[in-house]
Amino acid sequence: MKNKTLQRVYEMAKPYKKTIFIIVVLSLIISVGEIVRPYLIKVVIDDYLSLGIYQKGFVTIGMIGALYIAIVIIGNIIDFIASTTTNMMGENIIYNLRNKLFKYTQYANIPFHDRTPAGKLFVRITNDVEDISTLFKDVLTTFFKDIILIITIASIMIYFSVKLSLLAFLVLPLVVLFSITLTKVLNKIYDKSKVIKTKLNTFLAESIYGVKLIKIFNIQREKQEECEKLTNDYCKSRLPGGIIEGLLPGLMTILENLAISIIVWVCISNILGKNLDVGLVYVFITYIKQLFEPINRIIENVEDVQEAFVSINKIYDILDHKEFLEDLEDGIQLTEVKGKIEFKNVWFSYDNKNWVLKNISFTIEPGQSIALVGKTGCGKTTITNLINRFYDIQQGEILLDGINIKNINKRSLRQNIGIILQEPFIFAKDIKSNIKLNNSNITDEDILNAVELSSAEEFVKSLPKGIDEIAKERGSSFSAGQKQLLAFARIFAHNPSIFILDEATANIDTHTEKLIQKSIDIISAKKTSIFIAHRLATIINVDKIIVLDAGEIVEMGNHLELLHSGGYYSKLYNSYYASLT
Amino acid sequence: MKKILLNILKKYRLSTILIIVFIGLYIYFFTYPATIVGNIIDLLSDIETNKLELIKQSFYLLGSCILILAVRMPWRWLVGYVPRSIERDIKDKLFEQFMKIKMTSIQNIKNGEIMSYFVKDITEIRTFTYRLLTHATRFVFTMIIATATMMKNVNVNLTIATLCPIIIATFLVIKIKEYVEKSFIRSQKYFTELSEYVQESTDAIRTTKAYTGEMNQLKEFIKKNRMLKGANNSVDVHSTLLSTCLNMCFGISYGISLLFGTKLVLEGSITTGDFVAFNGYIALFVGPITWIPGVISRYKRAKISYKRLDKVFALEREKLTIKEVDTKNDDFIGNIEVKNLNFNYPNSIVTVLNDINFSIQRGEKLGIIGTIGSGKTTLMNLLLRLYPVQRDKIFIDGKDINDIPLKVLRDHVCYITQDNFLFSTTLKENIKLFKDGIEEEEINESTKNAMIYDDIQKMQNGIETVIGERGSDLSGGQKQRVVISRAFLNKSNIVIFDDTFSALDNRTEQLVLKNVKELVKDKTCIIISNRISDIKDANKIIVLDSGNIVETGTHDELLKLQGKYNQFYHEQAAKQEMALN
Repeated sequence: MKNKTLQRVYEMAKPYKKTIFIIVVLSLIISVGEIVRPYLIKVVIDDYLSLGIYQKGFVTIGMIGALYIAIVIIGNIIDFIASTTTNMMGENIIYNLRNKLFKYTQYANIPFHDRTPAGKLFVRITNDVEDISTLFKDVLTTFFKDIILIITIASIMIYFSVKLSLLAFLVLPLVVLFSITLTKVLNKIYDKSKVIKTKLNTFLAESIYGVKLIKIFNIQREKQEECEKLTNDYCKSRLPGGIIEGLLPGLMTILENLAISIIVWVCISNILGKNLDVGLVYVFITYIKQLFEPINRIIENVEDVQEAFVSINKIYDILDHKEFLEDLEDGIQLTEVKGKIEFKNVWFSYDNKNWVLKNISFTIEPGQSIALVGKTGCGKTTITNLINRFYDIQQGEILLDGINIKNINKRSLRQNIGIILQEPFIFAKDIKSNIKLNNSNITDEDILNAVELSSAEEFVKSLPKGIDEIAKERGSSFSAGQKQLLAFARIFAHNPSIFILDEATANIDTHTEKLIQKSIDIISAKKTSIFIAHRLATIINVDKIIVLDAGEIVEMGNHLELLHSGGYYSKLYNSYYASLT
Repeated sequence: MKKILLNILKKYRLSTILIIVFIGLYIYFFTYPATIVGNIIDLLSDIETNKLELIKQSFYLLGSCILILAVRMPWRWLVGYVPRSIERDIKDKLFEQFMKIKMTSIQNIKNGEIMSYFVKDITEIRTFTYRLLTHATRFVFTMIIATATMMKNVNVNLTIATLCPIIIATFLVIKIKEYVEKSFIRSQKYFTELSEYVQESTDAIRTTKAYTGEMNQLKEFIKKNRMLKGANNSVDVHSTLLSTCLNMCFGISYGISLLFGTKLVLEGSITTGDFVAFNGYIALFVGPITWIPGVISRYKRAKISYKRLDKVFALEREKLTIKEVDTKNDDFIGNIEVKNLNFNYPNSIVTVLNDINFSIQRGEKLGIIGTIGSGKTTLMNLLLRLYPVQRDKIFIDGKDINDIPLKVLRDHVCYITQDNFLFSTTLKENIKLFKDGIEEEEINESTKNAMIYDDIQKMQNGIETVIGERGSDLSGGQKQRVVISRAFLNKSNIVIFDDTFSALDNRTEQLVLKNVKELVKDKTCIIISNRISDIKDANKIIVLDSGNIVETGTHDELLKLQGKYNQFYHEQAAKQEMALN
């Protein structure tokens, strides 16, 4: 598992090999600068100050000072370049990953979307990718530098004095130990607190949502008590964290100075057998301080890395499933579509276990209109989803103008089928774009014509900005009927050969309903039309009514035929009137 | 808001003073290690004679670290405690405000917006108080104490010279931080836009596929993604620049100390140890200066949040009681009379109710039917005065509704709303609505009447079952029946059912209706429904259409009218039938 993750990280970083190499080299230069700086002070202390001289040979303290400042300036410039390069690289990796993921969601087929909740995809593309960005930016910018810094500082210390270094390093395991344990304790506290926070926020959200009910039943006082209890719990849950947060840096200061004390004791006890230069002691003390910083940073980063790894796996769990991707271009290109649809012994199941459609056969001649009737779950919507190949059937065949739709390329198939869903989706864009839907073949004139034909004109004109009015999220400012009118305008503008309507079940005012009926009449007069009917009144005039029950066709014929046959449909039609009177 | 905040702050006066004392001590102790290291450096020049002194100093060093830890812990705890307590107190106050302000005000604020007051704005204020108590105070004390120590222990001129770059750094950092903030806000904006786009696209996937718009969706995503990348890069570059400037200025400070400090050592006015200690003091400034721009930007954000909260706290509250009026409850009978009632929502010109007239006596049942948006629910909201009602329009027991204290009114009207709202707590609490003194037996009785008793018994924890957020683990019908059981527990004289039977199957509905009939025998009852069967036995039925009463009468009278009611009746016949089968 871990190896797989690392491999994925490697793959993401692979195109940036050169960049990473440059960053490593730059980090090396930066570390050298970091090490040289205290060393210069050591030189000044040991070679100049202890002897009381300003100039030794050719070199003055002033020159060393100037060199010091030069190193500071150059080092920081290089640091800036290295960090910026790393950040840019990280941002690029994230950018590409986001694009890849979004592309996947767009080209993945409907069964994929059925099993993957939209909310999950949303989190993958936004939050999870952000988590990974921490890995490639924040962690990576410091990681190379820190590792190199630790190695170089440790080696230079050892170079100066093996024994002294080893003694000073004695505190390092303690640093790691304290840091890891306390961070763990801290995380536990915060995790607990997070749970309470979620509880509090849920409470707040639902109280706001339910404020009307609270007012109606006069329970403000009870809710206030609950609120105060939860806010208090939350407040208290965070407090122990403060102690740990106080403890950790304090302990680090103690350990750092313990290391310094050890050096002092070593000097006194003469273990080294010779007197140490004062400057060397200074440089050791400084190095120890310098060593603490990167170690702590790496420990802090461990968690971010873990989180990022989890996110990487989640994202690749999606991306690795190539079998869900659709190829829109593969297959025969349709030219002139007449609109004859044939179902021949079609069997279909969503889960390969339960048959939703069983041995369905029927033919719709070009220009004919048919209606699918039956109770919820009988398979009427499923049939329409098969024609445009949102789902592929298991057995039998579906033919469009005599061609098996399996062999038709999906793009031209879908462009020839216009479907209106029960609740049409309205994008948060202007009306024009909502009708055009990025189809560059549709001119502004086409759009205006479509609006007129669909009887949406009156409604569109009533909007403050008319056709340029920007719809609210999901068209929430429009009624179900208005959304359907816009969907009709879409159909008129795109002019598909086959028309499918899933009738709206929501309450639509009588006026809008009449307009919708008008659009239906215009379209069905010209095109092969399929209606999924929820009300019998609208389908009386269709050429053929197919009555479905539990995935099977039980009756077929026009309204009068079916009514007279006295079967399922006629029962359906008559019984409710009877039950009321 | 000002008054509320001041009252809250007063509570934590003592803690705040303690924080300041502790932080002063903390900074003061923090200068010790540097001074001691300086001493040690001086003593090391002659180890043999200073052995004892060195050991003493090394223990001083460790001792000072323990002192630092000893003041750090309580201080750290307090700076967690004070801001979090303030946060809690403001949250409580804000919640109280939201529970008490008028529905008209709440209506104008989106639910998400209200949540952001709680989770964002109050957090901003907390974060600012935290930064103020930690970072700002630390900055001030460091500036005073560390500078004084440098001047006193080492040299005034050297102090001034080395502080110059640090002061420059402070200004630079504040300036750059402004750019960081600006680009950060931009990046956040693009991130939100991208997130919204992702959400919309995943929700719209079927529409996109039906119109083969995958490529266009992707293109637009890439465009947005690129904008986000650009903004993120800008944040990164500025943040890196910020830390680079800081590091560079501090590096130069050390360089200056190297150039001039060594001169002082050679002159004999300070020792080598002083020089080393001096470098230690400079390091004390690093943290506080890094934090100061954060304090400033947090202040700006907190100010905005404060203003937002201030607006909410300024909103008018509902008056639950009226002083002059006797709030005794016994004389509440429940006869309702509505005269020439007109209504439009505040700030809206759309007439929701137009010239409504009806009356209903205790013991009678009123049925209301009409399409969505006909004003049914609004009418009920007015009966509970959730919105302001003009004088002389609605009378209860002959008294103007405005003269009845809200508490009395709402205690006596049991309004079961159509949104089936359930709190995420136990079923029991959801039915008794947090009221005390209700026997389990009564609750069971009410659930039996609402035909939900058996369903509850089947659940693992029975009546103590906790509902998932917004009642997600109950079916629509179950939720409705839980909500209906509230009515059976309520002792009110007026009972209103607002479309609360729609999700019940026919049989259950009939049983519930029978029990309702029993319940309201001696009460005033209003039933709003789109199902004729729910209201056909009412003493009076009102047909609402676009805010007007278009028909009034009993079921039979209305059918004879051959009007809207009759039309409903027939349309429903067909519709209901489809759903039934």
